[in-house]
Amino acid sequence: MSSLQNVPCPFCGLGCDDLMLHARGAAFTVVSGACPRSLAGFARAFDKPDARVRGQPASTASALAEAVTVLGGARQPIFTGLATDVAGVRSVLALARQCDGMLDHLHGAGGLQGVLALQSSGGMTTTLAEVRNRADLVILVGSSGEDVAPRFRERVLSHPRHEHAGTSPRRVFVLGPQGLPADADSDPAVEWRHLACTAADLPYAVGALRCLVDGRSLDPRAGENLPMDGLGALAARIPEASYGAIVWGGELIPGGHGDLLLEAIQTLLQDLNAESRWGGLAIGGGEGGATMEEACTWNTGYAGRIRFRSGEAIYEPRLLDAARMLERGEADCMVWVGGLEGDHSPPAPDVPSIVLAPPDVPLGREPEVYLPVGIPGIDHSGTGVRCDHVVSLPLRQLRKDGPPPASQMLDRINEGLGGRGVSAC
Amino acid sequence: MLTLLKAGRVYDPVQGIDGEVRDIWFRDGRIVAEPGSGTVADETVDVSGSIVMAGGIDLHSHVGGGKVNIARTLLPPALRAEVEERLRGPVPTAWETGYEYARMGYTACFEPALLPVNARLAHQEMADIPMMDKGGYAMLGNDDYLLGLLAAGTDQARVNDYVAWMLRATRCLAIKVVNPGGISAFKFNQRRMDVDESHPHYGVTPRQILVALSRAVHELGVPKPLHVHASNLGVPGNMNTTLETMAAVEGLPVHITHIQFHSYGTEGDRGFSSGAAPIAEFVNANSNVSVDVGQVMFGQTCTISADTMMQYLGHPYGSPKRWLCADLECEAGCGVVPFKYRDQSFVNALQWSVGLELFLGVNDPWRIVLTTDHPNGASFTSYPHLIRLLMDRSFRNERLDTLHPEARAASHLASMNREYSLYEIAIVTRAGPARLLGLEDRGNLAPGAAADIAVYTPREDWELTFRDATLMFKDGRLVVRDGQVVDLTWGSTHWRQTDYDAGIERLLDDHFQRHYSMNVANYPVRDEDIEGDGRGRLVAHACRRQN
Ligand code: SF4
Ligand SMILES: [Zn+2]
Repeated sequence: MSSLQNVPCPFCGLGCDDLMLHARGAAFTVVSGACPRSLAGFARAFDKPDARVRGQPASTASALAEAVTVLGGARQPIFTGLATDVAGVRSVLALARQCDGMLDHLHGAGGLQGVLALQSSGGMTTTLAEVRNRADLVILVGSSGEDVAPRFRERVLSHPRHEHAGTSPRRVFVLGPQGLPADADSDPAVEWRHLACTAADLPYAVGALRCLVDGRSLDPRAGENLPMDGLGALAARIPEASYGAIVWGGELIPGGHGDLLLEAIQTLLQDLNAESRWGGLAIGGGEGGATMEEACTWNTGYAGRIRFRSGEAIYEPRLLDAARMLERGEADCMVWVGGLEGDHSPPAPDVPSIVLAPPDVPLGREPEVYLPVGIPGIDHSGTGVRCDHVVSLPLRQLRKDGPPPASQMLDRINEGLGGRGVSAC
Repeated sequence: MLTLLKAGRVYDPVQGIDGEVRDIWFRDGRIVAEPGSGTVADETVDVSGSIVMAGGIDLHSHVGGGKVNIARTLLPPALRAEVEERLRGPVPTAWETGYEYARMGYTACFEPALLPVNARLAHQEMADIPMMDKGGYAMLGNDDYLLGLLAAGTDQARVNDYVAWMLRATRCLAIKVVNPGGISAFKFNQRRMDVDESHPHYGVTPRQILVALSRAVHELGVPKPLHVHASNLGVPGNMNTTLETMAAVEGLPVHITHIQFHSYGTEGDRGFSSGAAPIAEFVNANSNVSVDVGQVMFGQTCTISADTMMQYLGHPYGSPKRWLCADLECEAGCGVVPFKYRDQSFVNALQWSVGLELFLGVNDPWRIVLTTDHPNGASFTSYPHLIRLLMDRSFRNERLDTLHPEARAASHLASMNREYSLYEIAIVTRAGPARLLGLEDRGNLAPGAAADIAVYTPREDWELTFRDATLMFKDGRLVVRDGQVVDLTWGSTHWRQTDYDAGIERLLDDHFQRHYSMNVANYPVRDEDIEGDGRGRLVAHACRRQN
């Protein structure tokens, strides 16, 4: 049985690259470094897939030709999904520019909360290796870590710190509705504490913590639903930390103003650094979210949620919402760009749609054009960006004869529309 | 195709050509010797009356890596438009970067602060810069591995192996150190670091780091001298730190970057003065030292630096008030602080003067390079204006007269009569940086050199002249006409290759297992990461080993 070493995993923003895989037919078993998500992801295998036009099997060439016709007839196409690698982002930007399209990643507003917070206040940030090697105090906000990135605990929290950072157990406070890991009590490396509150109360809890840290008094009624004892204990630990980290997932408050909460966290971090060292870290960014943000920013100046008009990118972070626009008929064509969409499936809008996705992704309705594409890191090589936006993974091609990369299909559609296939943004 | 650029006034300092009327021939992307009489060019372009130079080379410009994206995020185009009328700059997209450089007749720009662990992504970002050749300088000297080696007193050979391995893994052209040891010390909550101050954990001093890295670069035969962003950036009185830094390398080649930000004294009522004269005097007396200036221009920009220690210290002065500092993967950090330089601010006006005093005070143009430390002092798009300030004394003095009055009084500029010649401009914008980088086939127009050629038409003033190249050829292809991009090409990525003892990989494997969040096997940049999308190619340059 052939085994593959140090395989990078494309299935969440943590970007583990220590997986050992065994090939099993066209699929793979993760024999070391596994988590539920990577086990499921690498086990995916598909038959030799056909493209389809309105449900009928079609050659790639004729499906591409139909895609050109559909897209060429659209006035307000929206590109969503966007769960792809750097090459895929380049190609989709070039195509969207060519046809005056709009772009919204499948994480939508939630995925942009971090960017919006930076655009208000900036922040202080840190990365996985810094937290792992230095942080003796970690505050997880609205996430237990594992719910967002299954191996965060193993790869970061439970890992010994650098010799300079001491050997005492790492203190980890989990603020929010998420419970602690089942075996938290018997973890020698980490001293866990849960500060329970609802997701909706997170902004108040962070506000209360801020008051406690600043030594300001708090109206007792404001703390009624909050774990005030635990927050008090946490506030007492903050000055003792030699390096602290605040960690959150992707979308902090579902559907809400998570960017305002993140701004409160970022300004708290900025101010804590007047006395000691702290950094913030988002561990979301999966489904190609971080990759999209990086490559879109260097090409257009914006991390996402843009529309092209005569080649210029226009940024509409709060208005440009793919789901809503498709519902209201404000877009007249949908292009789903997948590969790394994981459990997310394309919307099933009333408007003509073109879906580029791996063959096993469930579709709510048969699109006008379906083009099978491969999974970056399994069917083709590429680059994926990790949640901290600093490290990128050299995704590998692990098997042959799978569907092509999304970037190739997008470039060919672009050529059909008369575009140059370069992201002339 | 054989092309003839006919009868231009050629400025090619590498060949000592100073404005003589010459013909330039090129074929297949390379300059060729004038063919024998009777040979007819496939295409002849009459450039009589125009100025012909090699394509411009910016050896210090922040054009790639996560910190540039953070700057774009903090000052996105729509928000940039709020603070200044022009939509473009101060932090252009990769696309705009290529276009704006090309229209000025530039053909290469180098990212000087490439975080090694970010190399793959930084190269992919730079691969999206059209028209330009590019490359990066790998940042070392705040990474736990090197600090650990030095703390353990490891011999120089091991340091050299590590540096050589890093050049290859990151596909970089040179090595840079930023605030030696200081970025790491900041992670231990230390807020300042002088040249002989010990690191709070490793115990090593900036001086030791400078010596080890400059020796490694020298012994490995990397032509580009160690690129040094010295300690105490922006601090009044830091000229002494800079003098100590230049002396610390004990005569080995060293390049002090954006030296304007490191040339301040403490004289006068405000405790802030120009240290340009003693700094220039030291540079003039020590031929192992080269510098680039990091000129400040007035207006909105965004400062981007790996120097978290000093960026954190400076954030209260930022504008608009959103800024970010980050600790990065036990290798270094970054700090991004939007900033507005104002001509009616005493400090900013004097910074402007200090930069120009350095340009005029350093005698050997081969050892001083024209930069604004884009975008830290100003956008690179201000180079034509800067060239006019250097070439036109009365323009310079008029500008000086409009500045903050006390800054004017504290400035030495009015007494400096020097005006740069076209020949000197050709040195500080192309021939000099090419020589420092060790790129023999760039920055000149000798047969065999790349046909990277800029043609300028003299206009009312030098700023207008250098604003828009009349013609620009990249590797022999016409890409700019009258300041407009007319064709699209992708340049090359230059990097420096040398051998190392394979034993270093075993040691690094162990270090990565214990301290990195990725495997050493997945760390190096693959060729396909840069060349995969068909944008440009890698060009490996050999080192010139000393032993
Ligand atoms: S935690 Fe994320 S990156 Fe790591 S193996 Fe699981 S899915 Fe892959
Ligand atoms: Zn710089």
